[in-house]
Amino acid sequence: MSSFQAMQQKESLQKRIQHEVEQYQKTQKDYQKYIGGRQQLDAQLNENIQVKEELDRLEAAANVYKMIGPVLVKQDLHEAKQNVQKRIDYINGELKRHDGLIQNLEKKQEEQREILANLQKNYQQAQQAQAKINSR
Amino acid sequence: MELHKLARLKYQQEEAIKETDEKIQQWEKFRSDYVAVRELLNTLPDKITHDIMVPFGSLAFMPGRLVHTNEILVLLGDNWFVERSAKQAAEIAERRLKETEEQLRKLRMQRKLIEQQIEFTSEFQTIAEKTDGVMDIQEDYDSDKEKEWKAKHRENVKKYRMMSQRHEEPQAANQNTGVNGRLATDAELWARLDELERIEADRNEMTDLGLDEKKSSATGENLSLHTPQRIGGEKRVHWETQSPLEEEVEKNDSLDSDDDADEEKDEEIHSETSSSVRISKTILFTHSKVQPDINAQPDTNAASLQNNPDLPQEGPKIQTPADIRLVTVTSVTKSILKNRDTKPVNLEAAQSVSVKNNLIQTAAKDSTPASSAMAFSEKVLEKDPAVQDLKMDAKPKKMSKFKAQRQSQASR
Repeated sequence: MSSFQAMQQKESLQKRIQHEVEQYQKTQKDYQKYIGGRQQLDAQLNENIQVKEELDRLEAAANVYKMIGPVLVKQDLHEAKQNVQKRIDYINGELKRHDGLIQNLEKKQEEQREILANLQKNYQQAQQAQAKINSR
Repeated sequence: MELHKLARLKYQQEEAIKETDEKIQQWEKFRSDYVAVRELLNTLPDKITHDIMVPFGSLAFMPGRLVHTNEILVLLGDNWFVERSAKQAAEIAERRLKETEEQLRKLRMQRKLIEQQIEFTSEFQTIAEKTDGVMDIQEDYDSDKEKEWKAKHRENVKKYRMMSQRHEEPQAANQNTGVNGRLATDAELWARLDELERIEADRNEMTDLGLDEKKSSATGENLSLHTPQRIGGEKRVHWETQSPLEEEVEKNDSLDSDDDADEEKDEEIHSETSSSVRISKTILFTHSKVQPDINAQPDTNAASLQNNPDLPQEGPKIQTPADIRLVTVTSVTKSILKNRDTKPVNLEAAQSVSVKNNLIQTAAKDSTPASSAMAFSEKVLEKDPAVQDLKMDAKPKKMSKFKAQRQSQASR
């Protein structure tokens, strides 16, 4: 193998490695994002569960208000209860979706790590080969 | 345990503790807030209106009035409000307070667990640095090498056993020349000791009593060191002086160490001391003559009548186990059955016997200061129970009537 060919090989390897690293970083970012989203959803879920409990304690004649922007809007108790329940269900669904996505991203990350490891090995081998050629 | 990894672990654990502490702080604040709100809600409906300083902006206050003191909008979460009275709001606050306290409790437990983990890592650190004074002794285990060693060990043990067996046979030839460089077993040494004892005993008996002795012919099988040998009616126990005993003890110790040179030396020392044992002091017991009990049952056995007044003789007289008793027991014990036979009591004879015994006792006492060279006076004075009874009769006042009854029965 001539030195020129070795150089070419090395460059192509380098490019590939760059590409793979970028992909890996992207995957990681997505992963972190979904992890954060999941945490938030978890907090919201707890909050809504507490609201539901309090609403259940209320007697029928109590006034319930919802704050929409700077305005407090009066709501019916039953309606309020239903709304809160719907919200809880929605949050649960979102939570499951997030969990699924997070698992996928984890798998993807593992695969990319392996690819990167292989590429790095190849790159090192190429370097050694080039060093040998140069020393000849 | 690598030190730098442990250091990193400790660092992470400390970070975790810091986080937990921060959370605990936050929740403590919430708790205090809820407590304050509850207090306020309790005092609020006391008056219809409160005069207060109303803040507007972040830097100014304005005097104002707080009306509708019993109408409170409570935020339930997620932008939901509910109108409640002061009392009801206080109840809500109470519930929230309980939840915060629960949360605080969990956080504190978490903190404790992390602390324990930190302790463990510190322990590991000290062990890794070897600063706590504990050394981990490690031996490499190679299963192949162990098998080799086991095989060799078995061979060595076999050789040892064979050599010791061979060594027992020519034991007699090696009596005073000592063992020549071969390992000797315990059994052989005990046998040798027994033989030396017997030799010494022989010599002593020849000089003292001039009696023939029956020797036990056991050789290699006798393992006990001090066998009290029963010869006829005499019990004889041997003591040797301190130094030979020590040599024997040393010898036993040296056996454990399997040192051939030591053994040879010890054998020689022992042979030397056995010859010098002749000079040592021995304690021999002989029993004094005891008059037969007057109340004894009439013995029809000719052998016993013959033997009782004299020193009991040994060996050939003993045909059955019962003979042993007749020969050796010189005082006849009193029967527990009531004595129906009325024998003529020879009081005079009894008194003369008592006088005789007294004389013997005083004679023995006189002779004791003179025999300081001997370790013992050599005579064991047997007490005559009959003499004692007669003496007791002389003082009737101190005796109980039952005893007196018995005495009178005995003297009949």
